[in-house]
Amino acid sequence: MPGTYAGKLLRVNLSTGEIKKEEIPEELLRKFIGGRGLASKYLFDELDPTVDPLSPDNKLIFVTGPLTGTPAPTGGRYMVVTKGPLTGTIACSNSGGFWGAELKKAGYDMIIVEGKAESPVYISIKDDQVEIKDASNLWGLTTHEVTDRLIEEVGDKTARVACIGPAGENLVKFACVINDKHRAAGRTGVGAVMGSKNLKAIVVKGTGKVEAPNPEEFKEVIKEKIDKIRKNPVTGEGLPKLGTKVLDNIINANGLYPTRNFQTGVFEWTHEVCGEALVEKGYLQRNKACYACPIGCGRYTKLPNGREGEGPEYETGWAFGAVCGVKDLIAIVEANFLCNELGLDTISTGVTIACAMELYERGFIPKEDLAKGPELLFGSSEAIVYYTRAIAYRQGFGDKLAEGSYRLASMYGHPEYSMSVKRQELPAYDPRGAQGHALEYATSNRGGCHVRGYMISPEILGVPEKLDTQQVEGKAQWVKAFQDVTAVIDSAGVCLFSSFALDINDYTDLLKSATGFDYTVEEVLKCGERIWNLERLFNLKAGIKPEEDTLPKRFLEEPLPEGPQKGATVKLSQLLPEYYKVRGWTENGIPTEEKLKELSLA
Amino acid sequence: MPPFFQVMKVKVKLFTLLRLEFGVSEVELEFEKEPVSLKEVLHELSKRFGEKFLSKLVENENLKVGTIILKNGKNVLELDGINTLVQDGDELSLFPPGGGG
Repeated sequence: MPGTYAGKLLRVNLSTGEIKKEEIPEELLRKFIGGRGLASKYLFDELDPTVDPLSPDNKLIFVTGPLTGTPAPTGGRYMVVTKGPLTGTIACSNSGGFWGAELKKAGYDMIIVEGKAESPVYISIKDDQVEIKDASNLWGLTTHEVTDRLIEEVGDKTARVACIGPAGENLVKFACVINDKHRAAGRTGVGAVMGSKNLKAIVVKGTGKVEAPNPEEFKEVIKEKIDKIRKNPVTGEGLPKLGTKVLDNIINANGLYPTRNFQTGVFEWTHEVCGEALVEKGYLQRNKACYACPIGCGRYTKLPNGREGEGPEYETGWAFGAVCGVKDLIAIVEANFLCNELGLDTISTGVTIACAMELYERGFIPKEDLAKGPELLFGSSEAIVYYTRAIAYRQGFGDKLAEGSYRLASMYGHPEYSMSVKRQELPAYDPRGAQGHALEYATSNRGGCHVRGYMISPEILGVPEKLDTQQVEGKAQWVKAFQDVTAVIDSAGVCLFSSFALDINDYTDLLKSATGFDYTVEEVLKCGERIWNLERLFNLKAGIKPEEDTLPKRFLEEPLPEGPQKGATVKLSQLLPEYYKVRGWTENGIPTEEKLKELSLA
Repeated sequence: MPPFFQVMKVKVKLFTLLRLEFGVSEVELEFEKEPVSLKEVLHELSKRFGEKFLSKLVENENLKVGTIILKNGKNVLELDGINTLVQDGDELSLFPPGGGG
């Protein structure tokens, strides 16, 4: 088996209790790299894309890349791939921490979970010993509790746990998988799929080695890349010192910091809730780094009331802050902690509450529907904390919120107030403030998402070069390139943040040295494009129509009302046709036979 | 100084690492000529806060990749970069390279 791959997958059928170990064909590894790409290929080949995501017929894949578990910088990533219950698209959610590296060391590139257990179970993996065990006494526990209990149960403090909280058990459409207590495979509702299978957790201990074909050469390549990351001002200083919350003021000052359910792009209380405030108010305790990460962007925070944990990240701080109009940093951090403990995606939780606030303030949600919960008013710190908990347990109005903003707003007859794409809530950048990023939102294969082609980097941050935010020409090429490279990064098993310092040449160096494949940059980029197109094919077969490559009406019709980009709307009618062309798809957004042949997908 | 010349004032807001390391979030600078270049403004700030201040933003006499400087909300890279002219009443926002997601 080439290099740093384990070469094996674990297939666990929870309906029958059967556990199998299978070889992974080398040809697939080379063509799909690993991680997101490899799992998408298996899902595409094995799953009927029209399957109900929460039925036993869906499959849930935990997957690592060839760089996962190696000393390559940020090589701690794993992904959860399935058909998502929030979007109905292919779902792929990515997490750091230490769990992924442990799985690789146990000797597996991925786990394919099938069927549904009759009663709650967990999977225990210790190298080649794999067991399905009873989890009846763990059902209902928070992610922190279940992690502690399982580590105690397996009697090894160095074992790693990925699990769901009550939100996943209760099939909240945007429940996440939490590993190592604080790290989340956050988006697309992968935790609900895990809950639907009655699978509470996977505990892993691996004692194997992950070795490259030429360890000395691999070491040299890694050294060079770590050096680049350390010397880069973003990954060497900005992210380590302030974490992702370095962005609050940057995005607000540029006028695309979504406020009050994206009604405007400037939040007047940013100074109260920004990354600088987190430090100045004394809540930040220290940095936290994931496996093999020289950046260490994670925050460990302690509130004056003694509550402590990881976060908040930029997205989370915003999802309970500006987009809900909340300026109370304590309540924001508390809602963050609750999401981690209960197993909720912070972005979708916050943006769904923000949507409900707008619907309530406009009079579309009657007060009696709130089941005696606090009023859903923008700025209410009580509401964000109360409803976060209510969502996880589907209590009172939380039961409706648990369906996500799109289904909620549709229930009340106003889907236009759901700030989502393909039913997934949008993250912390108003698309009117960056045309390329808007196109990225509209075309993301997993619905509203910023990490499938992070155009904020060139459009706002000026990395690798500064692009005009409102310019339309050339943006489609940029988006395609970013989407393809991101697919490579996710498949390799490294963190997207490494790409502030590394480029496709660096990733090719790392992949070549790790796997022993004589990859060229062109071949690696082709892999990225292949993965993107495969995901697109899955979605088309799942019944996701190209007409869904769009944005909420607000962004297309209502100009940004204030700030430096006042007056801007998204010029999607110009961006999208160009994108389809650049992708080599028909003008209706379907990959052509010719393109599929070129990518060996037909 | 020519007769009737009024002092030009520029407001500079400091963010992220600058705010944390130098402990100041806003500075008002005065110049005895108008306009001045952004480069001159940065050197003036450097006189006040030390060379380290400049090194957060500038490399080889140019803005570092990822440095964001907004003049009245507009990125100076879309204007004239480090040579962008600054006039009385302008507001500058300074961010050393940062990122995330």
